[in-house]
Amino acid sequence: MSTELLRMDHAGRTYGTTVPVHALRDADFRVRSGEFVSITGASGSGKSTLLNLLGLLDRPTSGAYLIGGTDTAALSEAERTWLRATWFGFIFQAFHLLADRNVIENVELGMLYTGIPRATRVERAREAIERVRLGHRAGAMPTTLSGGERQRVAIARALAAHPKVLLCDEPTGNLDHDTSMSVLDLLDELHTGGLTVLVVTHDREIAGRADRSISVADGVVSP
Amino acid sequence: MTTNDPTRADDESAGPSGTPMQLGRSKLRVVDALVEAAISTILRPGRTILTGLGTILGVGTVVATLGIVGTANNRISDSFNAVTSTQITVSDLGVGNIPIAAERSVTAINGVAHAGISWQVRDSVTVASNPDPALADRFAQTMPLYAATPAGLDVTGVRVLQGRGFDQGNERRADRVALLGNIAAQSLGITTVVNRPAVFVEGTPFTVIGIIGGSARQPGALTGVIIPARTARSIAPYAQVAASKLSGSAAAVNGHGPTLFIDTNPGAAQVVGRQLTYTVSPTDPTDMSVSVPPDPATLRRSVEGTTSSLILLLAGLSIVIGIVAIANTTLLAVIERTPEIGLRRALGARPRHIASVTLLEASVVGGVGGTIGAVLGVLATTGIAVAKTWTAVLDVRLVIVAPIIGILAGLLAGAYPAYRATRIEPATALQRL
Repeated sequence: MSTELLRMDHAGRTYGTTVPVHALRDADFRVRSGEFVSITGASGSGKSTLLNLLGLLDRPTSGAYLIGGTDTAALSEAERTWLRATWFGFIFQAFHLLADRNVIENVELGMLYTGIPRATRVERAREAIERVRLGHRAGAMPTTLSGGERQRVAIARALAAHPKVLLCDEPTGNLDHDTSMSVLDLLDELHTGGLTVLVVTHDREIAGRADRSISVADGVVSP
Repeated sequence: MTTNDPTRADDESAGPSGTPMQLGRSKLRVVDALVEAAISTILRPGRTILTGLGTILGVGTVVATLGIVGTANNRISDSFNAVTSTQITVSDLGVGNIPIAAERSVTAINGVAHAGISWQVRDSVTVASNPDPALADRFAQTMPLYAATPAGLDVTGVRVLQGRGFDQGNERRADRVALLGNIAAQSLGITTVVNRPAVFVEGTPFTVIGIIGGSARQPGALTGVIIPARTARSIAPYAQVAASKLSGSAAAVNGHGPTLFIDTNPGAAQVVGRQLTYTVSPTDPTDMSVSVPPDPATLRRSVEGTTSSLILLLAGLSIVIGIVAIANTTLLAVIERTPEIGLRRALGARPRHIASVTLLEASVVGGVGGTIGAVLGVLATTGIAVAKTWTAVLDVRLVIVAPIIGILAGLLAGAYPAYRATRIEPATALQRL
């Protein structure tokens, strides 16, 4: 039986004080383990704000956000970073690979702040690279990789830390159609293996692959 | 939930909803922090060199300036030892306390190289090149009158331009011979001593046997006339001058007693100085003034203290410039790496992890820069010493401490950039690419 992993309880995010901007209002939904959820909406609708809250990269200014039943408002910065390192795997539209580190070093970076010894990190990084079918490019520099390969490295980096939830922000935004499909196939495969996946996208085709979709419009979340 | 997948998180932290979750803290191992700092400095050689340049220049300047000053001070001390610190002067505070015979007894003191008597007998006397008082307006001048023994001429550095100085015969016989300073000779219209011209000192005739070009320790002699010491004593006996002084007459102010000039061997001035008064006047050693050069060691310390303070100030300024250079470049690096820092924060880095790696990078660069600066400073000091044929003097402790100074400078310089790095919000930073 799947358990509730994430819970937004009437959460909101407002920027500024003199002229408040309500980027997100009254978000109220739950994500259970093993789900594939898409978060859709137009540009500027508040999708990325929602993803930042979900990944503990930002804090809600109203309501509550619970992870595994624990209210994140009560967590210290050290506990929040620990959750980011161990619970979440991040996949960004711009890949965010370090240009002066090779593939295996980039993947290893995903475990650097977990206190895992280097030998174990390298072993796990190799496993993750094999899993995204880039074993033959383990020593390559990011500048020599195609867009699809770079995103696979980013996925491997997210997987290597053995996260519970994969948070993907427009993972195919910088890729052509065929490459996008192969990356989505990989995400499908990971979900099928039991991983909880949340994908922010404005692409209906990608949203169609998810178990369910959460839409965001003008900061209002509709589960 | 399926847990067999190798990509799944370790379940010890994942409690079911409602069950308190076991929380940990993200951590960066010390060895990993060191490796990250080292990789960062190696992978960005341009920035590392630019950053290190400030420390290299700062520490290099400190080592080189202190080394060069140490070497120069050593050289200055040698010069003081060789010249200035060997000259002693014994002045008569009364009248007649320094007999001319003291010259011989002082010469016998161990460590004395030369000793001689010379003094300004009168501040002003009338000297004429023609005895006729009616022609005094044309041929008479007022000038100081000096006296000297032959040894006194030597030890005061009298340089004879024409003729000769006094000999022992002139001194012993109290001959009425004179040396004229070349300025005095010109004023009296005397241009040569070949024909043994005569001058009249207060009406008393003297044969001019030489014209002098200067005196190192009696520079006023250039404008005056010098006569033998015993001759001077016969003209202005000590007793007469003493009586004048006691009566407070104007003539008293015009008279002086002999002065003993002494050259010692290097390093002997202090010891000789302590023996002089008792040798010159055993019965009344307090009525004379002995001018001994300062102890070379004291003098050297004084000079070194003055120059070292100045140079330490300059060295401190160099270090500050180095710190500012490192701080500036490190801050630029932090700004340039904002997206990377954002990524690391997203991957679990705490602000202190980012700060520690930033500080480590700055201190590694500072330490390496300090080491290279120390080597360059030593080379500069040695090179200058070799070029000047001086002995290089450098405190070894400074060379050892230099890399530590570099590390501390790096830590200090990295403090503000590290603080700035900790303020980077991951969500904002990740949007910058």
